[in-house]
Amino acid sequence: MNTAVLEEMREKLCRAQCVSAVNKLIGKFCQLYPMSKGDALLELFAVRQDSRVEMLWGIYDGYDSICRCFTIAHPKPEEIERRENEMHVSNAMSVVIVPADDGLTARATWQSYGHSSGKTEKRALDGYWSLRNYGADFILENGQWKFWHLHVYDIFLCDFYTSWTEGAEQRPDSQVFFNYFRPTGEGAPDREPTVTWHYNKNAVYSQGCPAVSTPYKTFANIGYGY
Amino acid sequence: MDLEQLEAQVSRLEAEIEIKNSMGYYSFHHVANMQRETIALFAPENEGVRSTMMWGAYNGQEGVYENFMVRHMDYHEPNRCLGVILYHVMTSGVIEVAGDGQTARATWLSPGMSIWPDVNRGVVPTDKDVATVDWANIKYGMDYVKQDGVWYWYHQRVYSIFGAPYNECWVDCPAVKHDWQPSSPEEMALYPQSPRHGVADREADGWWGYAPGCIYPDDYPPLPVPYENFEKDVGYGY
Amino acid sequence: MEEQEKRLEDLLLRLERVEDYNAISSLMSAFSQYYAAFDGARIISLFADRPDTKAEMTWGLYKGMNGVKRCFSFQNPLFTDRYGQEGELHLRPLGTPVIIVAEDRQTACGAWICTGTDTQKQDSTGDAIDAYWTWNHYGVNFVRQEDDWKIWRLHEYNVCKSPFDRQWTQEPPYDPYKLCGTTQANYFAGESPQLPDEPPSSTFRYSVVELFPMNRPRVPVPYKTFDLSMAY
Repeated sequence: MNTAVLEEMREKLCRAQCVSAVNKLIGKFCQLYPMSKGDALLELFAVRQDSRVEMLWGIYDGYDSICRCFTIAHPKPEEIERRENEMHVSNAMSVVIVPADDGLTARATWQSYGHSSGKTEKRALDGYWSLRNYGADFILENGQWKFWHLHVYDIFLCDFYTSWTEGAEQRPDSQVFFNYFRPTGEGAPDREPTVTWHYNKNAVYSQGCPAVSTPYKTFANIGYGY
Repeated sequence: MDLEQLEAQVSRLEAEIEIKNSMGYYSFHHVANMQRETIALFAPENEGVRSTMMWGAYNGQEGVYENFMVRHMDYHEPNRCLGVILYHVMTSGVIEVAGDGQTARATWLSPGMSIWPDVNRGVVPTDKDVATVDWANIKYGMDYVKQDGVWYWYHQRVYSIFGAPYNECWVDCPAVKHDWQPSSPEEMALYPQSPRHGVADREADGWWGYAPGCIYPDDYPPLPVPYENFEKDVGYGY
Repeated sequence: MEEQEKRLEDLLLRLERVEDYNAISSLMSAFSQYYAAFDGARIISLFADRPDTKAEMTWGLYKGMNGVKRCFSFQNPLFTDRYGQEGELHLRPLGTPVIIVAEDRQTACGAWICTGTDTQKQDSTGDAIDAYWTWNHYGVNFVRQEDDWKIWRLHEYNVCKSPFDRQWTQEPPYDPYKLCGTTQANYFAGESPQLPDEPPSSTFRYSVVELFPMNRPRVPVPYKTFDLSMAY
């Protein structure tokens, strides 16, 4: 057989399978997150010291910290009291996926049109529209694609009854609102978030969003959510 | 990897694309009440097909027809479709193609809207009538089957997250089980298109809708996992 | 051996079409993300540099690459903002794609549903900002240009643009001229280079006594090679 064609096929196949795997990881994250299935979420992440998750309230550095994020900061499945009324759904849309030329990493950015429900500072039970951006790096680990760095960016979180152009959450210091949810103790993040942009009437959107993933040869920078 | 293995891998990737496109076809057809086209997504002449709505399961070719052409409505009967818009947008898909390449399973999150004229079913709306918009957030659990080289729908199961009026937050609404099965002679008369009057073959097992005090359910639906073949499973919506 | 070589070549072609699907999916998603970021230059770079390129937005049709550049120019208030970027937010998240790559791999067609939002200042003070739910459909033709996929003919179909607190079944009649900040009489008066070349070819407004229109866009089906019946 034509070995040059065969080699070209293998490279293309690896790239296509990377895109398929990353799509699946993103879908799994979105579907598992509201189920509070921390253990299942952790299986999506690379077990590395340089793995990282940036939530809206802070950064978890390393796989061990990511474990704390999804099994302590977030309720476990059996913690029924903590889970009561909580529902946080992100629908992944406009997904851009770019495998690196070297086939070892990949990057993706996507938008999320979703909703959140649960206890807030001002009400026992609130429902919100929640629009977000996501940026993520992925890495091959033992032949399987995994999340490596994941960064959640807020666009707006607006009370169902109040437009995102109004409402207390749209103050320039909206980070105060998210800090209400910041876990403490063993669930606390390691660092402050790198991005605290939230929509408000004076905000410029382009300053808050992740850079859209574009083609690249090899992973040479620090990735999303540094 | 030999040529056969390469072909199998490429076929799996093609399957995912066909499956994603089929969900896109469904969204566009359903919103325009093109239900004959929706039915054509199901595997033809396959009596194992099933469409399970929140209120009940419709089995086989006749059941799928009953659901989409009688219980729902098709634009060939325009008076039934006036002002009706059912938006179900597919996102966040997780697709697993079986090892044998003959079936596949997927789950999807679906934000959407549903719009119905505020008239009783069977009454043709006039321009004096208004329509209500509801937010409709649901999920899909799907099985697919390859038949004559084409990927078709095998089983469809719809799962509720919440349905709420446009101006009332889901946390303030009571969870209402979607139990729109005509039961009285008067209700059945609203679905004269078939002797079944749109009635499902049986109730859907398990229902959840957001309401104060609830816990977001696990495995509703369960995400698909890698599998070799479909033989020992009954699929989504059994 | 010859048969094996043929199988390998066929398989390579099939895999390249898978790659094409992925490239087009990411291309349209990039359009959506750049749109939200007011990144007109990058949006323009996604389009094919051809005289028959077009961008038909809900407010009007821009013809050719010059039209696309006028549409997505940073200076175009209809794309970026009218009164400065602060407080403006125009999100176009895309879902439910149908993407079909032609057998000859020279063109492709795609359709998407967009569950978006618009946030627009009413005047230069920025004190009054309107928030809208904006749902659109997209029908897009793509063309291969020097080994890259590009947007060829983009058609944005309006579905609803309703204020945050109002049902979109009660929207006023759709007025593309008002969207452009002008009137029908002044539309072609040449008062601004940002105005489109033509009004939109179709508009939609919800009516309780009408059917939701089909083929808006026409959802693509598998095809061998492009012809004008597939043009959006």
